[in-house]
Order: sequence, then structure tokens, then C-alpha cells
Amino acid sequence: MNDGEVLTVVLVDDHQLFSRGLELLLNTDPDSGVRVLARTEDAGRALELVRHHRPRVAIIDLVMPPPGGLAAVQAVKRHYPDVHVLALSGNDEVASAVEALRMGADGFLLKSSEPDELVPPLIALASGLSVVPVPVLSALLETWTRSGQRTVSDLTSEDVDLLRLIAAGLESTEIAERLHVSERTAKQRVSVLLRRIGVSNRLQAAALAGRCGLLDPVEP
Amino acid sequence: MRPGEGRSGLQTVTVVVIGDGPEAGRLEVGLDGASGGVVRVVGRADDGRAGVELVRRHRPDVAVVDLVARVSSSGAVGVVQELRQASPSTRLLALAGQADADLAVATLNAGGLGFLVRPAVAGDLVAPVLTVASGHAVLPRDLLSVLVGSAVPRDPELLSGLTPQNADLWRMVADGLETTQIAERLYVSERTAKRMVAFLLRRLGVANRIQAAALAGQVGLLDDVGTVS
Repeated sequence: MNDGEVLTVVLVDDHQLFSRGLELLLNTDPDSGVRVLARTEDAGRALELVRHHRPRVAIIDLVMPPPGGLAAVQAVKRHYPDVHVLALSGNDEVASAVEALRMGADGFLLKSSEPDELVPPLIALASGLSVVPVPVLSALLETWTRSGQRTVSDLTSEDVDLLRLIAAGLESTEIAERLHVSERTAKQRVSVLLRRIGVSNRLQAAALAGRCGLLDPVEP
Repeated sequence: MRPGEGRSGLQTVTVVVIGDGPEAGRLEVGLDGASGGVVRVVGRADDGRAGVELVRRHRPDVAVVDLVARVSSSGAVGVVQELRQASPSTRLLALAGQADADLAVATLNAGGLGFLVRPAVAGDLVAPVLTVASGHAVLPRDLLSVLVGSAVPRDPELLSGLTPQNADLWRMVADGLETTQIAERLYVSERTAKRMVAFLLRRLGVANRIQAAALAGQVGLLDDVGTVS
């Protein structure tokens, strides 16, 4: 595992017992091939720590007092996209894991993982791979399937425009007017499009359009 | 070192390599060599059928499956499914020539735990093998971005303000159910169902059902996720 090069890490975690234990474990095992350069308990100092030490990997706990782990993940990835970020949490909510990955985290693990089980994922992460628990993967796969992302990415720009008109709630006559075609043609085009994206009615088409980010953002 | 343990007292991880030709041979030798004894290759098969047999016999911790043509003549998904059946406890790590999202999703949906682009050096497989052995999923970073990109940010404010009943009603509307169908599902009169929908639309600040459907997609109402463990 250890090909001579030491994998450098910083830890951002307010839970001292955990992060000290991890540091001790990684730094005292010569075979781990991993060295913890620094730790902080303050999410607000994550960026500073990374700037100063330039580690290969930053391990960031998501559940920390403000500004919080998510903000730390986001800040580190925005300024140092090459630093691999492993988000940790003692909280098993898939939604918060997905949120961290969306903020740029390269991987997510539960804190209940055995400390020495962290080493292979760290090495995998540093080589440009992502590591996540199975339920997180399942959720992402399901979302992918449900989103019809592939279907939508295959659509022509005319089809995307038509989908937006449907999602805006326009009737066939209005769509016909906008497209300068007969009402019959408009109806035909709509039904072809619905079939193509695999939905059975206009409401499902609208939901899919919203789901895939084809519509204007929701106003706060 | 006790039997069954490699360096650092880690449990030895047993591996079957399924792959065609010299590449797989290099993999076999390389994995053993690079891991310092933590990974032990217990067998190698040239094609999918022999691989399934081998996995059934050895019940390895991990099967590394190169999705080359000869191995996956029944299709990548077919091989993964057969391996899963042959030894449900074996974790499957699939290798492919490129990070094809559709192939990766199909492989992972079929029960694979890892999907990687075939590395140039077998030693680079050690960490992924150990990672899947501990029950975690591994995939290329870019692929994760693609999957995560399809996840919609939830709108917690809008969603938390809703009762579960209202959320269910909203889902029915977004699914295109007619008033009569909603009434049936909720065991209420059609008139009541109509009134409930009207109330929901007002509450959401939208003019009609189709806008409610679009909004449902936008705020992530249709993406229910649970817990990790």
C-alpha cells in the first residue's frame, strides 16, 4: 500500500476524542502510509489549515458548530479543488451525505467505520476515486434513474423548449400559436415528446422538467 | 502474524480475478505483490462462466471482474448478477476501459459495489479492493459528479412546512392523478378532494396543477432518501 510517498491529511473535527485517536492511529503506524499534518476543532479554520499545510486529503466532520462542516467542505473545494475532501458524519442521514457531495466532497463515510478501515478509502480518494457507503450509492442510483437525466440530455433544443412550454401549463392551442403550427400538429408533438421521455401525462412531464433543472429556479 | 492476517494485523482479503489474457494475469500477480500480503488472490478465471464457478467454490471477499468482451458475453449486468447469486457475500469490483456512466450505473444497479477504469498499475487496485471489502462503494470521481448532479437540492423550508398528508397529495398531483383518483385514494368525496387540491395550490403559491407538478420536481419532493445505516 505504501509506495514510498506519504499521504498527507488534515483533520477538521470538533470531536477531539475522535480526531486525536485517528491522528494517533495514523501517525504511529508506520505501515499506514498516512500522516496527519494538523487538526482543528473549528470549521471556520478549515480553509486556513488547508492553505497552510496543503494536504492531499482534508477529512471534515459535517456535524460541527457554525459555520459548520458543509461550509468548510464548500470553502476548501472552492479554493483548493485539487485537495480531496472526505466528509465524515456520525449522522446516518443520506440527505446530508448527498448534500456534502453536492458541495464538492469527494467521498463520505460514517464515523462508525473502524479507524483502520479509513486508510484504504483515503488512498482510493487520493488517487481520484470516490468512496461512499452503500445506502448513499443506492440513493444516488435511484435518483439518477428517476431523474430521467439521460432522457433529457438526449433531447433536441426544440424538444427542451416544448417541454418548458408544457411545464408552464400551456394548452395545446397556446403551444400551437407559439410554434406557428396547427393545433393537431402541436398535440402530436406533445405526445411524441411524452413518449420519448417516458412519462404518461403532461403533469409528469412538468415534474420531470422541474426535476432536471429545466425551469427557472424557485423564488425564495 | 496470525494466520488469516496480513501486515498491520489486518484481515487478509481473498480475491478472485476474472479477466481475459495477460492483463488479468498481471493483475493477479500485481495485486498479490503490491498489497504486502493484505490481499491474497485465490484464483483467476478467463471468462464469466469459469469466474462464476470459481467464486461459488472459493466464496472470496472480493471478485475483481474485468468487463471485457469475453468475460461479459452475457453482458456486464448478466455476469454481475450471476456472481451475486453464486456468492452473495462476495463484493464485486468491476473494471472497464472507460468511465461510461450508463455501464457503471447498470453494473452498480445489478449489485456491483465498485466500478473503476482499469488502472495501468495493478498496485492501484489494492486500496479499492480493500475499500469494497469493508463494504463501501468505490467509483471514479467524475462519475460521482454525474450522479450527484442529477440530485436536486431539496427546499427544506417549503417541504418542512407541509404536513405529510399535504406532501402525499402533492405527489399525487405531480403524478398526474385526476380528482376522482385522488378522492378514491384518500377515501373522501370528489368535492372534498377538489377542495384539498385547491387549498394545496394556494398554499404552494401556484396557479394550477401543472405548476404544482413542476415545483414538486424542482424542490426535490420526488426524491425521497432515507438513512445511511
